Amino acid sequence: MSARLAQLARSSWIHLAAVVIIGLVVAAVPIIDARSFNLQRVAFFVLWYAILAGAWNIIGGYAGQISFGHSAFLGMGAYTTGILWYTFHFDPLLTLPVAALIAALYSILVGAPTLRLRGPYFAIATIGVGEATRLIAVNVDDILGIKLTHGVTGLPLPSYDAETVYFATVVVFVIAMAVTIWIRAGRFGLGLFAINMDRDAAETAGVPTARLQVIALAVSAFLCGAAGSLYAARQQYLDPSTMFSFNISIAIVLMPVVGGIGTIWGPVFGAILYSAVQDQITSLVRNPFVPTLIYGVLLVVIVMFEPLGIGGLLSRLGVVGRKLVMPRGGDADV
Amino acid sequence: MSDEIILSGAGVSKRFGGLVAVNSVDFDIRRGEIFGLIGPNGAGKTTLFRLLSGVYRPTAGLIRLHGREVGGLPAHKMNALGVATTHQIVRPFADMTVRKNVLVGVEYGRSGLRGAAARAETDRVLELMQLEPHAETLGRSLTLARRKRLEVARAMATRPDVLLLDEVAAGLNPTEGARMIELIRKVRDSGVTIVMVEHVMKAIMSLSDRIMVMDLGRRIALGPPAQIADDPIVIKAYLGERAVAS
Amino acid sequence: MRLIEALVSALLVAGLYASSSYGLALIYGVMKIINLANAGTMMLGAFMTWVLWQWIGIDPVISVILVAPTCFVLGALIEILLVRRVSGQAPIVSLLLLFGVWLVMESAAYLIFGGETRGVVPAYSQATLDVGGVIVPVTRLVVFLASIVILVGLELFLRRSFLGRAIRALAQDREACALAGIDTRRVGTLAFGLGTALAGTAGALLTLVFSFDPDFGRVLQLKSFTIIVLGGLESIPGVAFASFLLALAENLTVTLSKPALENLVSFVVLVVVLVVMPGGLAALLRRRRLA
Repeated sequence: MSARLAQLARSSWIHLAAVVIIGLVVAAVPIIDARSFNLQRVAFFVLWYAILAGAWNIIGGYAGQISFGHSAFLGMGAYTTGILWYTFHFDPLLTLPVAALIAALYSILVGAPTLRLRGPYFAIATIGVGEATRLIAVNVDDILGIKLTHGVTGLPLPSYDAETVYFATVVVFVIAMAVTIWIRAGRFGLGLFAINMDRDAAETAGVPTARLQVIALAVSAFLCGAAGSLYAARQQYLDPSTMFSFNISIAIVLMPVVGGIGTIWGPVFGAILYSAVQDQITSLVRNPFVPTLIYGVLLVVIVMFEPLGIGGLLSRLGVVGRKLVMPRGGDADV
Repeated sequence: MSDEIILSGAGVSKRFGGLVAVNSVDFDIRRGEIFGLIGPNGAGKTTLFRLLSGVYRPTAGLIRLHGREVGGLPAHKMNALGVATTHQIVRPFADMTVRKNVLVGVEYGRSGLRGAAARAETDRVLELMQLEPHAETLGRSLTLARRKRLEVARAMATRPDVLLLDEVAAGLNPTEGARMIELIRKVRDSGVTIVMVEHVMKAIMSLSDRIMVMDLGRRIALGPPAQIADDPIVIKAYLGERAVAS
Repeated sequence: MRLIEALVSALLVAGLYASSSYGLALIYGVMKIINLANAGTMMLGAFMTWVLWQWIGIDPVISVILVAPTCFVLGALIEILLVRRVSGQAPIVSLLLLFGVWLVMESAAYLIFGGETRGVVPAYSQATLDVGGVIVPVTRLVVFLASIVILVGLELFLRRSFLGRAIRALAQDREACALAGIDTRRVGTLAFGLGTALAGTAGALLTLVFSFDPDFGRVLQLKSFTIIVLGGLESIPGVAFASFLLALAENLTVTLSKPALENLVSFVVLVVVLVVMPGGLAALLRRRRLA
């Protein structure tokens, strides 16, 4: 039975079908129960976190370049939409592709020089880039003497139909998952995993490591930018210290690492856990730092004992066959 | 072995700070030959190797491939031009199966194949290197001999004109060594020029058409194995080691 | 006159930065591990100092006597229980691990102490000295002098004592050390503990100059990264020199443009140095000498 299951999991189409089914189910929520605002809110955030976690996983999990600065791309996307909406009154959801593109372009700008760095150095560079981006976003109005981000006072935005944003989020989620599944199954993903395992050996085997890494980061940033755009449309207020904050960058790293780095469903597990902890623990304990403590402990435990995170744990418990959770490019995986 | 020169070096040098690892070396490698590179430890063989594969750039001198200057090009560009390398310390992709390892070479090398054709090519290479029975084993679980064959397989998958083998026979027992020698001959017979660095004299003496000897960064001899074995300069460089020429 | 003021001010700040970077430099130099928990240890040192000052009234400089050994033990424990377990794996693994430790430390501090900003104000906290026409706050002078003492002490320790030389040897060639009969694991643990102690000491001293909350240390840590990369990761004097350069650069930025951009300088320098000069200034100088 589990051999058959392993065989099935090998096929990307199954994963894709699962994503579409989940998408349809989640999309049905507001249709079935128009008053289910809380469920919608929870679902929105789980999907939104999953998009971010899945996006990070492409550069962090597949290519192995750990980024602690992904909030820069999220913020870029959010502010692109925010500024276009505020200044030119464009429909925010129509600006989504632009926002995503701007985030991707920014990632190429900062990624091209830094992706050359290995492991920990790249990680530190991303912390620097993330923080620098935040400072620029907060101060750009003062420096250039214009009104762009409105600095610390924040950018207020008109209201927009939450349900439309919700459906857009479902669509972006499905696309993001489809992208990660497709990458993993194909030549591009193969190259990324090779870079992850041994960059020099990949080079000598013909893999253009620099180019592939930049592309992976660009795709990752594109999806983050899209998520930023969705956030702007929903929250209707943007503040640079939050949007570009290190805390968000931390969360974006935590989710896929805890859920299962480099796997397809790991980021989703991580997003669900993160969302659950944020909601449940915060309402129980009322202290925002208890979740952080939990994540810290989880991170330490996972790094030391189960690098494949929740996905790995599930496979050990036999819930999903061990063969289903292969790290970093193995044949079958979750 | 033809007379056409496929890979050549003129005055090739490499310094690391104050250390001169390769000192103005000239060489011509002919298409289809098996060209051996030997020398005592620290002679600069591996450095020369890395200069040829694109890992290092030369500090001075020219390296030419098919007559075109290629010194300093990065490894994946060298690969695109037809030079593939194996490593002294074998580096399979640890968490990928043998099959996937070779697939990387097929899809990113010069075969230009994708999809089903790429998978078929992978099977062909696996068969060539006698790795078929282990196709689904993870890189990290392979024995040394199989890892070495995988290194060669991955390099061959990129359809090189020149294959650089860095101590490919090291650490193998006599049976595995003999098998490797056989496979290298098969590779050459398929049309690939081979440059090999070796310490295992039996391998390099029996396989090479010509051998270049290095010592302290310089070339000290170049010729057929029999000539090298009798060369007093070579013997002096190796004084203190037993060079087994057979 | 303004130039001298600027230089003196930069010098004093450099003392601060250098103190907070020594620990990071030592741990990286010896174990090739980037200790993201460094910020957490600095914060720990600061809070310990605050507690001691609140309850017993001990001056921060004196409390180093208690803070340093405590942090040493903490560091050694972290190394033995956690870091050592992942020592064979890719460097990114220890990075994530120590990141997790930092998160735990920071959130624990928030839970225990709350998020308010605290300060330590000994009797001389407002005092200033007139040094040749330049007004110098005593607290900053104390920190500066302490950083010199640490610098000298550390250099002496690393060059003269057996343990210090073992640590330096370990930084250069682990295998050779093992072959020479040095207990690499024990030396590694001691080095990590020493690095943590240095960070805790920095935290203790910095309470004289800054008010702090549990997030204290994060920005400082980023500047420390900049400094150790700039100064060349294995050189203690390099750290001191780079601290001065960074402080100077920040000072210039603040005087020439907006104060808010002071931190931006370090981040930009960090990224630029990482990309352009991975060996830091020390490597640049080495290359010059040999060419």
